Amino acid sequence: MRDVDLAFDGKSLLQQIGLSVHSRSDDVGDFVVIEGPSGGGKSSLLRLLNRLVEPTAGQMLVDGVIPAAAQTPRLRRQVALLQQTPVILPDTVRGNLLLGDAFAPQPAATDEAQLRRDLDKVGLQHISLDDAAEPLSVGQRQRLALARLLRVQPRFLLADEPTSALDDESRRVVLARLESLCVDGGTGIVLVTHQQFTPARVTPHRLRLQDGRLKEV
Amino acid sequence: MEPLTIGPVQLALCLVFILIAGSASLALGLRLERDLLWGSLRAFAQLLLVGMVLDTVFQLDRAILVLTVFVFMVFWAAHAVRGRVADAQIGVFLPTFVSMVTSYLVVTIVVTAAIIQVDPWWSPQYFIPIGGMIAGNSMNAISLSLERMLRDFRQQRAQIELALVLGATGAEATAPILRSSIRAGMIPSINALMTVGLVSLPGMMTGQILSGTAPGEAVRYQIVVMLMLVASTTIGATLVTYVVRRRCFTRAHQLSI
Repeated sequence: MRDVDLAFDGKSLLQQIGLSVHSRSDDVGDFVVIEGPSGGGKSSLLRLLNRLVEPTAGQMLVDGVIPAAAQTPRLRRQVALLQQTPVILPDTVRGNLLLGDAFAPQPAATDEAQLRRDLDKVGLQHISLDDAAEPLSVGQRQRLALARLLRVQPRFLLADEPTSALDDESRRVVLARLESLCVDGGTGIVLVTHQQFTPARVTPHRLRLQDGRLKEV
Repeated sequence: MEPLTIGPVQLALCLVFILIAGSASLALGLRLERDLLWGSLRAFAQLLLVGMVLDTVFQLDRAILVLTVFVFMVFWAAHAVRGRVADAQIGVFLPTFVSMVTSYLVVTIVVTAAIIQVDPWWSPQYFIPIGGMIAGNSMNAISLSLERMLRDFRQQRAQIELALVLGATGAEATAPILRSSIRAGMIPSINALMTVGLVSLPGMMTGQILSGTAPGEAVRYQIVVMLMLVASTTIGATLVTYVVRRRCFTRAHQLSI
């Protein structure tokens, strides 16, 4: 994103934001950690990157070009957003896991073994696919939401305070998964957090969002 | 049998009903006298005026006049929908008006030209009352559907955004809400099919019977009316919700309400 401003009802929230994130198919992706006080526009920044909101000024570029409006659904699958509060529908674990498949241009494998692998990768080995998803704990729900998002195989992952309400185990699993995606899969990660986090296998690019501006730490 | 006509004297006699209501309001302290008086005056004035306009339209017998009256009725129906939906962010009037004119025109023409087989199809005696019934009844269906859809868009914002995040288009993300909204608009007209004749006698049928039509004939007309109302509410609610939904999303599939 280049010189991006965002305002709501005439009130400026983000100013002159410049941010560049890379994913790489044969190398480690970028790992960007954005810190800052709550209410400072961190979530809005991720919503801009996922194009859930439109910038008031500036340019959003993907692979050097401004994507057409009609391409947004495809773009959102490439630049996927993990929301702070996972939205889990009143359905089974399987139903929730397969939610994004309905919108996929090419359907991913939906066999039992594949779905189990999807759950295993986020530490949900002991959860049955046919269990109701709503009674899961907050940590399990967030891991299910991550597994669901990863089925779309994004090139970039935007994570909005993904571990703020989680127990230690879930927090460890989610962060390790993000790190693995970046290091082993080349996925570009943008993690917004107010918690201290130091990845073990990658050196993150640390930024701070304060008073609507993004600064190097 | 020729219907008995109501003259000015008999009409004036009806004021006794208003006097009864007004007396009750005074005696019970309901403070509705002013509204009763104003309401009665308006009812007299509006209906007498409409009667004069319709008399003229019937005498002149011109298609353009009949269609103008029809569009005028639909305009006020769309205006009433806007008043009920009262959404400051999304303009519902224009899409409602255009959808209503289109769908009601189609249904009304099918009824007059193909089913009743009036010649010409725009004959005011048939086209205006049938068009009026369609506009009046479908107006409620469209209001129900729109209210439900806009309410659910706001209440289920998180679920809609989840679908968008997973790569859904605005239409895909809101398909379940659209379905339940159209259903909400259609159910009253389907319920009416179940209870008609049991709970009440429909206004049009009673009107025909009062004006001398044999009950069997009036019933056949009423069946046509009930079925056409099901079609017009379906088409009207579907068209309007689809068009208004488009206004709730930007071209980049961002929910804008």
